[in-house]
Amino acid sequence: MKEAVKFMKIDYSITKSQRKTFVLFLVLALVLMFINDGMVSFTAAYLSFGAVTLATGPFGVENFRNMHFMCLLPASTKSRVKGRFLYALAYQLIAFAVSAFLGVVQCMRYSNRAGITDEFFQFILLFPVIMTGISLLIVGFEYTLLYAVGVRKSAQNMKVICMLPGLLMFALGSFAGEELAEAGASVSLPALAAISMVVGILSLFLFFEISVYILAHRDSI
Amino acid sequence: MNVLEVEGITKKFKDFCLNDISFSLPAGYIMGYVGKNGAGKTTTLNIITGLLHATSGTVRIDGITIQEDPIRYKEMIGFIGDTSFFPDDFTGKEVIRTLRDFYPSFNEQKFRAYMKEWDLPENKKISQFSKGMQVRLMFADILSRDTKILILDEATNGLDPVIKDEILTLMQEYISDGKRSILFSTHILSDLEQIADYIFFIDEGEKVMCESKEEMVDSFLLLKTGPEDLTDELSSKIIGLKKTEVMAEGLIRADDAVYFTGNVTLEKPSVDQIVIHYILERGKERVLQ
Amino acid sequence: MRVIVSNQSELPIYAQIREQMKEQILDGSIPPGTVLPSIRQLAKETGVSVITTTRAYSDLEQEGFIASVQGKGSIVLPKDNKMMRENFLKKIEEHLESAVQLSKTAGISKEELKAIMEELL
Repeated sequence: MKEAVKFMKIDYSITKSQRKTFVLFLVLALVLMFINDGMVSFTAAYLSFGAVTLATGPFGVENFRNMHFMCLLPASTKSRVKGRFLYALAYQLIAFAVSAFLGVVQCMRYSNRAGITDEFFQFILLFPVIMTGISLLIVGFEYTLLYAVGVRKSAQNMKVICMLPGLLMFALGSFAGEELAEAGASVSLPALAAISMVVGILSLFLFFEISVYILAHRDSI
Repeated sequence: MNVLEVEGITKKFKDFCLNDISFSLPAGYIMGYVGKNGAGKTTTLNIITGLLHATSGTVRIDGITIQEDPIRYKEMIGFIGDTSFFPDDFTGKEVIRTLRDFYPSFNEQKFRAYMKEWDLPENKKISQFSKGMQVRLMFADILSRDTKILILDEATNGLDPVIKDEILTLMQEYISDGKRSILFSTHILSDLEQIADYIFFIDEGEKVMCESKEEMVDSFLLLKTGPEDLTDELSSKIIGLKKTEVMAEGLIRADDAVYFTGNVTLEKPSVDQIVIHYILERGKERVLQ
Repeated sequence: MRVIVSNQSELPIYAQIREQMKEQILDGSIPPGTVLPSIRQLAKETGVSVITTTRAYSDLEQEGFIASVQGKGSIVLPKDNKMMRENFLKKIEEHLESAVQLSKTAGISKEELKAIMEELL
């Protein structure tokens, strides 16, 4: 675990400049949404999109030139992959925390309005959990894909792979959010949230093992 | 005691193949890995450093393979390539943190002392360093921890002569305790020929020759004569014959000097010249096939 | 001590080092008993490969000019030591042998040859 944390620190360092612009954009959009009394489902989906896309950062920075650096550090392949998965996990947790916080704030705002059901409050608080579960699954899949593709000369393909899952998340998330909000009592939100988290965590572990296998057996450049 | 043992390394690519490369490098010596661009030098080095998996064959550093103990294996390696090694966003601070995290033998004071001696700023992005500064940074890294082998892959490309000279001195300093060795690859040997103990000459993925530089240089002579002064029989003894209107030049084995009694100039060849003429000769042979 | 190495010379570098050190030992500028720089040190100081200095030193040792002492390095031997003497005698014999051969080829008599020797001495 210690070795993995060292790699996480490296992934954090190499994505410094990348992160600055992206985070700025995220925060700005978030503030605008909130001012406009945006729906939490939209916000949570948006934050998940941000987390899933930001997580691909290290892959975007790796290229032929600095592969020697990453590959020559004396550590096991497992630690290297674990460090990066921790990096991804950190983003998902941050996204979850912010969504949950905004959800709570929104609950307090709405608590004095008439015609708001209990299911609505439940939705506001549980939707971020569902989104996080799904994002764990997506980020695991995305990482495995990126490890399989490796460092390629075509930066274009890399950019597509990095952006697509995030956008998908955003689209699905918003859509699911609306559907669930309308479904109301017919759907058990707590059950959905639990299932989503379990699936998310299990698939993260699964994709981790696959990624380690892939990285250990392929050429690095 | 061999610091590096390469046995039967083969690597198959779509349009290139590294074929059965074997050599050993004893502790305390410098080996030049030479050949033209695309001959397989970088591929060999990437297999040694573990970036590529060989199709077959083994590599041992200090007796262990990378599979047996990847951590110890990598700790023993110092690597300098021809591009910036550290990620673009890194500054000296992150370099120190990384070295401290990953290398138990890393001596931070020593590293800082080198940084100071060579005027390397700690807060500037490494990507903004000049090439010479980047190479010095790599030496600071390698000399501040315990390694067994220093691998340089075309590390002197694009450096000014003053820094190249500094590097030669650093390289000799590195092997001066007799326990560590250097493997450097280059296609411009004149840089480092003087201090090389051994030469491995590779062409088209195959070994052409591997011996001590002294033996190599002693066993050949560079021949220069007029183009009309060569009979067919004499020409056949010449390796990589180059003919112009006014001059014929080629390599001959030192033993064959007895056959050239006429108006010829015989000189001690540089390793570069040996390589050039062999590549020429092999090119001719390939055309004939 | 002074060792100057040149790429322009016809002599291989190890031979240049060997001959220069020999000269200095013979004319006394490197006195007997001097501990010479180690093979690696000399390589570093002259900017040549380790194998080159190794060869130069091994030649010097064979010809009786230096001896390697465990733990100390290489020491310059006194000039008229037995091995050096034997080496020189051998070389003198070889040179004289070729002179004799030449005289036979040229048809020069024994007496003429002896006269030349006397003059030179």
